[in-house]
Amino acid sequence: MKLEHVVSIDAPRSRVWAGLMDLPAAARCVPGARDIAADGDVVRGTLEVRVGPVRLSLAGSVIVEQRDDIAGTARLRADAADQRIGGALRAFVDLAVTGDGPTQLRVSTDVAILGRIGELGQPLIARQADKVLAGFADCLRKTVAAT
Amino acid sequence: MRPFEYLEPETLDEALALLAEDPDDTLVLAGGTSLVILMKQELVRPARVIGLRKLAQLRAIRSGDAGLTIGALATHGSLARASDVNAFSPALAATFAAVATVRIREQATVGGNIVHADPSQDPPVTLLALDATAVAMSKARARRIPFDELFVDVFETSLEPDELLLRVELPALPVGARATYKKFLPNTLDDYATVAVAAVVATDADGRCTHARIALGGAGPVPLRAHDAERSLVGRRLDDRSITEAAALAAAATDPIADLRGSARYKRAMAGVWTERALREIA
Amino acid sequence: MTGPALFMTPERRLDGTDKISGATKYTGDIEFPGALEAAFVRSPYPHARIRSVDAVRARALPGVRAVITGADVGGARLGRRLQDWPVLCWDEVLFVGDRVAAVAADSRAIAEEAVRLIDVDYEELPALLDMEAALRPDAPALHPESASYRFLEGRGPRPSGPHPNHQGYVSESHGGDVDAAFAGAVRVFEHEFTTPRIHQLALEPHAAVVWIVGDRVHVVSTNKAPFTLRDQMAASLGLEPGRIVVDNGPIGGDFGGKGLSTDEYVLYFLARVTGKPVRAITRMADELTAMNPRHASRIRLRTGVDATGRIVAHESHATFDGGAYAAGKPTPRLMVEGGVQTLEGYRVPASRHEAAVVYTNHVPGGHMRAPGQPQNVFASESHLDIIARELGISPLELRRRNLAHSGDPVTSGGPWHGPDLHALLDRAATEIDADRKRGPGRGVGFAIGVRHVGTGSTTITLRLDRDGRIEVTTGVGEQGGGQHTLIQRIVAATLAVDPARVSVRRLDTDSPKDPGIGGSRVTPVHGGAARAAAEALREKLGGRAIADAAATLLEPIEVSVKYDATAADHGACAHAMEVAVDAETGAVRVLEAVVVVDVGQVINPVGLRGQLEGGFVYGLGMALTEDLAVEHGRIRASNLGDYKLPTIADVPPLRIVHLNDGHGVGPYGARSSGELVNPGVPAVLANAVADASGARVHTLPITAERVWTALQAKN
Repeated sequence: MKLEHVVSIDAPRSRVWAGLMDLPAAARCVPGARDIAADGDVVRGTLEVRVGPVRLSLAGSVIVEQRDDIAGTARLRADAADQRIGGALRAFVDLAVTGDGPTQLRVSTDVAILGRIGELGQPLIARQADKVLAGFADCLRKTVAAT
Repeated sequence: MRPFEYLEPETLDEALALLAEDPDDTLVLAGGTSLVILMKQELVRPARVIGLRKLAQLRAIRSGDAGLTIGALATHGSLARASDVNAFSPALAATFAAVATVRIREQATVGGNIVHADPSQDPPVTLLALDATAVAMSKARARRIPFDELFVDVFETSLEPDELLLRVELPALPVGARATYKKFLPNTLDDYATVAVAAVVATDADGRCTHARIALGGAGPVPLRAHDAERSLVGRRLDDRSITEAAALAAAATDPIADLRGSARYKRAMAGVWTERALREIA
Repeated sequence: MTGPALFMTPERRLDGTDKISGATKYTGDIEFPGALEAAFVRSPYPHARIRSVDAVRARALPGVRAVITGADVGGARLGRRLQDWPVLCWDEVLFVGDRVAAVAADSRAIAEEAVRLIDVDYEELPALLDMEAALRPDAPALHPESASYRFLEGRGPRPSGPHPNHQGYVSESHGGDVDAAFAGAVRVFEHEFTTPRIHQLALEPHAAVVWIVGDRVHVVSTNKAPFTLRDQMAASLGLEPGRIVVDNGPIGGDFGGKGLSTDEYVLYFLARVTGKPVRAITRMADELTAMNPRHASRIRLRTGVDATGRIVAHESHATFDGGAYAAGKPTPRLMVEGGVQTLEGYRVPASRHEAAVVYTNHVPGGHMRAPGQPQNVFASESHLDIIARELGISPLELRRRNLAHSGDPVTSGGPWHGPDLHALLDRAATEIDADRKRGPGRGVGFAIGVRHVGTGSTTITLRLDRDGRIEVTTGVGEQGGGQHTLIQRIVAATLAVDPARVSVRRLDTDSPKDPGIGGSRVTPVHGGAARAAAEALREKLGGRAIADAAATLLEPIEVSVKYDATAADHGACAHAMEVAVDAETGAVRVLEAVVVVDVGQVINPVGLRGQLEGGFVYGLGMALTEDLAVEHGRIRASNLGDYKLPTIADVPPLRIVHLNDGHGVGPYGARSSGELVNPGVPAVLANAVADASGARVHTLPITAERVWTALQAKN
C-alpha cells in the first residue's frame, strides 16, 4: 500500500532537514506515539492508534536506512507489532525535501500489513496511515517553525 | 471470542452509571450485528459489555407537530414498517427497508448503526438530509449533536466513550417537501452501497427551490452533505440545467475511499449520476 | 430411451429431514470428551526464511497442551499428487498463510491466544507475485529440491516443464501442421483474457478431528475422498495405509475445495504429542486466504478462419497461477485440465495448446467445480464473439458454422463424441427469441459448455433382509449433491421396490476402496455400480420379486459388485442470456437466462435442478462479483462482507430446458451434471454485455466499473 504526502513548511530547508533527521524528536511528532527512546541508531517506541472501537498498540522501531544530506533524501524503515489483535506493520518511508523557505517535504510511504491487522481492511488502514502522516507533517511544521 | 463481563441494566440511569465506571474498556451492545462480528474477529476485546435490551423506552418511535423522534433501539425492520415513519417521509421508511437483509434489519438498531459510523451505511445518509439531531446522555450531562457534527471519521463519531445515544430527532419538513433515497448496488443486492444519495427538496408556487438537502453515502470517510450543490439549487427551478450543475457539484464534494466496491474515480462519477437521478425523481 | 417411472417422481432426499431440522452432525459438530482444539501460526509474508520460533510464552499459557513447529514434523510434506507442501514450515514460508507452528489447547480461545504469543523471527525474501516474473529465465526456483518430493501413484512419469517454476506444463497439438493451417487462414485473430482467483466457498469450512488408539490413527474429516486422504496421509506421514482409518461425517458443501486437506496432518502430530483427540475448524478468514482457490489465469487465444468464418487453425497459451504448492491438484499432469483444450465443442481441424501452471508466492491453487474450465470457456467464447463481430457475422451464426457434429475433429484431438450441440444451440436461440429486435442498452449473448462424464471404479454392496429391506453400503460420502439418494433410487428402480425400503450407509476406509466425489464421477461410477449391484442381486434371486424372495430367506443375503465405468462421453449445454446495461453506471442486469442441457436420463429431478440452477448461480458469482484480490501477496478479503457472492435475490429469471439424445453412458443413459453449467456463465454474460452496450470486458469479474470504464474508453 503506497501513500504520498507533500507538505509545504515555511522554514529554511536546512532546518526542516535537521528536524527530520533528529529521529527521536521527529518520532515524537507522530500522533499517538509514546515511550520514544533512542537506542543507538534505532528509535523505539509505541504507537497508539484507535479506529472506532478497535485499538491498536503498535510497539516497534524506526531506523534510517539511507541518508543523503546534500540531496535531502532519506529512507526510513519502521517495523511495529501489535499483540492485542496480532499482526504487524512494516513501512518504508522515503523523505525528500525540495525548495527552500518554503520547503516542500515529500513523504512517500510503502506500508505492508502483516497478519490479523489486515482483517480491519486495507481502505481503513490506508486512511489511518494517512491521518497519522498528516498529523506528523503538521507537527513537524510547527516544531521547525518554533526553532 | 474472548471472555468478558456482561451486564444488563434495568434502567437508563443504571446503564449510564455502569458506563461511567470504565468507559474505555466497556462497549455497548444494541442489536450486536456489527459489534459481535468485531468481537468474534477479536478486533475488539472489551472487558465489559453492557446490553441495552431491557431499556424498552429507547425503542419508541413518536411523531408530532415538531417532527419525528426515533429511539436508538428501534430496529431497521420496525422503522421500515412504522406508519409514523412512513407518514413523516416515505423515503426514510424506504431507507430502513434498504438496509442489508431481512435478518439484519430485524436485529440491528438505528442507534447501533449510527454509532458504528460505517460510511457505507444507509440510514445516516437520509437522516443527514432530513436535518437530524442526535440526543446523547452521559451520567454527567445530556447533549444534542446535529448530524453534521456527529460523524468524525470512518467508525468514529463525536460521542464520548461515556455517552449513550438515546434518540434521533427529526424536525418537521417544509411544506410540500419531497425526498428520495437512492442506493447504488451494482454487484449484489446484499451489499453496502457503492454510493448512496439522499435528497430533499421543496419548491414554491413558482417552482423555485426553497429547500434543498443532498447527502451522500459511500462517498467519503463520513456521510457527506453536498452543501455547494444544495446552495446552487435554492432559488432556481429544478430543470435539466440546475440539476446537472448540482450533480456535478455533488460529485466534486466527494472524497471517496477506494475499496472493493470501486475506485475513487468511479465512486465520484457515480455520486454525480445518482444525485442527478435523485433530483430528477423529486424535481 | 426412457428410464423407469420412478425417476419421474421427485425424490425425497435421504439426508433431507436431518439437514432441514438441524439434526445433521457435521464434522465440526462432533463432541469428543477431552478433545483439544488446534490453532495455527501463519506466515504474514509471501516469502521469508524462518530464523527462529519462540514459543516459550505460549507454552506457559494455562490450558496449552502442546506447541509444535516445523522442527517437529520430520520433514513431512502433504499433497494430493505431488507432496510439496510442508505440514508445518521449518525453513521457508512461501505464501501469506503458510503454517509455521500449531497449538493444541483446552479451548479454541486459549489456542488462538497462544498463537499470538508465539514469536517467529522471519527474514523476508523477494517474492514472486506474478506468473510472468516466475517464468523469467533468471527467476529463482521456489522449490529447488523438488526432485526429492514424493509423487503419488505415478501413472507415468512425474511431469516437468521447461522452467523449474512450472508445476505442470502441457504442450500438445492435434490435426497435423498447425502453422501450415494458420498460413492458409484468410484472417487470424488474437485476444487475451484474465480471470482472478475465486473461492469454492462451501458453507461448511474445512474441519477435522484426529486421535490415536494403539497403533491406529483415527481421522474424521470433511475431505470428500476419504480413501485418497488415507493414502495421502500414509505416504506423507510414513505410515502403513491400514493404520489410518478415515471416517467422514456428512459434508456441508464441497465445490471441489474439500478435495484438499491440510489440517489432518498437523492434527496427527498434535494428537501424538498430547495423547488426546485434537480438532481444528478453519476460520472463515483462513478459508478465504489460505485454502486452495480456483487458479487465476491468463489465456491468450489465436484463431485462423477461412473466408466464410470457419475455423481452420487455433492455438492457445494458458497460464495458471498455481501458487506456492502444487499440493491441491490431484491430476497426474499437475494441470488444471479443463483449461488446456480451448474452443472445446467446436470443429477445429488443427490446433496447438500450451498450458502452464506456475509456482508463485500466492496461496496454492486447487480444484473448484470444473477446474480450469470456466477460465477456458470465458476466453474461448468471448474470443469467438469478438471474431464474429469483426467478420460481420452474428455470433449465433458463427457458432452454427463452427460447432462440432458427431465425429468432427475437436481440440481434444479426437472426434467429437457427445450430445448434439447444434440442437442445444438452436433451442437456446429459440428460447431467448434471438431474432427479436431489442431496445437500446439491451442485448443477447450465447455460449456453449461441454463437460466430460467421469470415469472410475468402486464397489457397492447390497444386503437384502428377510423383511424385504435393502441396505446399500458404499465408500462414497454425501457432500450435498444427493449422492446417496441417487444410489438409493437406482437400486430401487432396478429392483422395482419402493425407495423407502432402500437405505444407504457410508463405510469408513476399512472397506473396499472408493475414489470419492469429484471429476463428474458419481453418477456414472457410483450410479453404474448401484445398478450393477442391483442386477447382480436380482440374478442371485433367480429373477423373483424382492418381496417374494425376501420372505423365503433364512438369513440376509449380500452381493458385492466392483464396477468400472470407462466409457467416454460428454454432457453439454447451450447458454443464452439477455441483459440490460446501464450506460451511465455500467451496471449489468440479467433480464433472462436460458440453459439448454443434455444430461441424459434424469434420476433425481429435484437434485438435478439444484445442480443446474445452482451451477448457474455459482457461475454468476464468478461472472459478476467474486474476486480474491491480492495486495502485497495478501488476499484482501477476510470475510463474506468483502468477498461477495450472489444471493437468492440476485438470481434472474432462469429457465433450464432439457434435451436428451438418448446416448448417455451412465446408468439408464444418465450423464453427469454438477460441473456442466457454471463454466459457461461468465462467457454468456460477457457476450450479452458486449451485445447490449459494445463494452467488451476481457477480465473477470465483469463489474459495473469495468463495463463503465470500457464504455468511457469507447466513447
